[in-house]
Amino acid sequence: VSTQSTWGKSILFLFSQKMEDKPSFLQKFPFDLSDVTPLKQYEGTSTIMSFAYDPEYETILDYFRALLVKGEVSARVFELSSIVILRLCGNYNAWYIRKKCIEELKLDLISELEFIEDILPGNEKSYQLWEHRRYIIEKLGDYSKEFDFIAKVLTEDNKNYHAWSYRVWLVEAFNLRDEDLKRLELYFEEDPKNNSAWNHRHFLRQNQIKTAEDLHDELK
Amino acid sequence: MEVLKKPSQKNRTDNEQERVQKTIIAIMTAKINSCLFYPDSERDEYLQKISLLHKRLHAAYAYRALHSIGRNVFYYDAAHPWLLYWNLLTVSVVNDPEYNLNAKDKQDLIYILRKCQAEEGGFAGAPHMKPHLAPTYAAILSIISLEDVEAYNVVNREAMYKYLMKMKHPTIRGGFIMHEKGELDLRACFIAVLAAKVFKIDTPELFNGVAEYIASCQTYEGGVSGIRGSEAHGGYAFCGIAALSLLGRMDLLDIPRLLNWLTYRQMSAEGGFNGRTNKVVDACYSFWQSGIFKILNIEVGGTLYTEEGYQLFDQLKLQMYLLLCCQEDEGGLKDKPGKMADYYHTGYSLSGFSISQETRDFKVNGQQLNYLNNQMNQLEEIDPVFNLPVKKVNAIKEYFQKLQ
Repeated sequence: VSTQSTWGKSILFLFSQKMEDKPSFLQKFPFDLSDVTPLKQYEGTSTIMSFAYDPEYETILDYFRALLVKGEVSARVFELSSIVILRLCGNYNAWYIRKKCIEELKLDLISELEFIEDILPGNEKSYQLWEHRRYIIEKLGDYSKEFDFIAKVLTEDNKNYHAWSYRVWLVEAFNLRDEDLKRLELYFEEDPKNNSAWNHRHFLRQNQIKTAEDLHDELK
Repeated sequence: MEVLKKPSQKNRTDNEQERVQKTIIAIMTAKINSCLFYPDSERDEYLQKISLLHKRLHAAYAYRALHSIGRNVFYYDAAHPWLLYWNLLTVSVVNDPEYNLNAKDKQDLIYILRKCQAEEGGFAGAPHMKPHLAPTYAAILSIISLEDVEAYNVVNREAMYKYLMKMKHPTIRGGFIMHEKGELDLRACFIAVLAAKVFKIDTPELFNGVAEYIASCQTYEGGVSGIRGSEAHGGYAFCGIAALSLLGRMDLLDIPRLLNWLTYRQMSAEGGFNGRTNKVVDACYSFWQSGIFKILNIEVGGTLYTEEGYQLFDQLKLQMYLLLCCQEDEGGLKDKPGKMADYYHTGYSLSGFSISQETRDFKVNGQQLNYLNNQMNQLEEIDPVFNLPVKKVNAIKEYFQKLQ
């Protein structure tokens, strides 16, 4: 191959790049994984659908798969779950093993809330993210930051279904009907046609309206 | 059309609706009015051309995906069975002989499904992963779509049952979660009911309280929500009604209230459906919403029609939206103009389109409803609970019936 052709020049360029120049996942990962045999997805075969991946992502998942199958619960698995989640928030397996690590290793719950905040951008509609927050807050028993968290998401999208469903759970879990009724006013001011807000008001008020007088007040 | 006459509102709902509606009306009028550039004698031909459903292109799009998805898998790497189902749905609804699967294709797809089945029961989003009800649902529907005994026998029924029982919510009676340490969600109830019914592993213990829980998610608006208390939503409404239909417990629903909510889901200007009150149109609701009409119709023995024999929504308007605004030139269908086509929207737009072709008399006199009477647009008839062609659903029902 002539080094004067563009093709030849690209080959030279490729070979001149030492493998160590680009830190690989294994080199960056803070724990030792040398005892782990990476587990390929479809036995390394190409299926009819020819699933293809970025090599680094594939490596990360090969190690994650191996550890998931092994059932390991450890600091290194917890760290790996963060990396998997950063690559694909919808990988429910990472969230599952993360919870197991939190439970068995008694990890800090507040930093989980920080983690969720960090990965929130772009993942506001992730079922896994919202369930994880619910799970943490349920364990913590402290809802003080939650209205702000919900408000942040609703500022961007005032009808985010996950946010409103989470709000329903929050109100029921901590008995916050009256407090939430006051907060809800803002949403009607901002967008009186926001059906999510109207539905939420119905949810808050339905057990409170017991007499004809209550109904009259509500209609006003 | 009133929204267009008022000046731009300051609230987000009206702004969004105006933005979407204006775009769609502009596209539709431009396409239709372009017939004026043609001499009288050629106008009909032009209109026929623009209202053609590009069935072959859509089937090709899905068929190609099934044969080589490549790096497009990435966002769906925890959802491989969905990539199968959405595309199998498209291919089977169109049923184009050029783009149907052969025996080898089926074998290869069965391999993927086998690898996604979890030892503990159910299917995962990818091999060696934990099972989850969403890929379980997609895998089951894929199996039904393959219409092959080997596919039917992939499922380990005992393990599936154990897994479904594990998915019952620990404290909320009748509730189900989507995966271990996962979220409570109405989809989970529906998927569990469907899986149990298909593979004949339904027990009173498994279904204890499910119908009541689902019914408790019907909101004051008439639709159904994802969890008790949240907003009526097309996707969840479909799941709830399909589940109650399988359980034979539609009696628990307020049907008139449901129908009221449902009919308002069709957008008067755009023609397509939205998912919730005061939200914008989306092509996928073509199935989630009109599927409910069809399920209700079956429930009342095929009498849910107007005097003239039409369904309780504007069938041609839905078709027009999909035909003129949602078809991608290279194949596939999209949510709305401005979005890109994807496998999910392609499948659900087409099955919704299929439902819109049915009239009361279509079985009797073959009277299929197609915009401008374009019979070339005809698609396979869909079973609304399973969202797959009727004959495929009947085939698996027959198979497991014989097993008993």
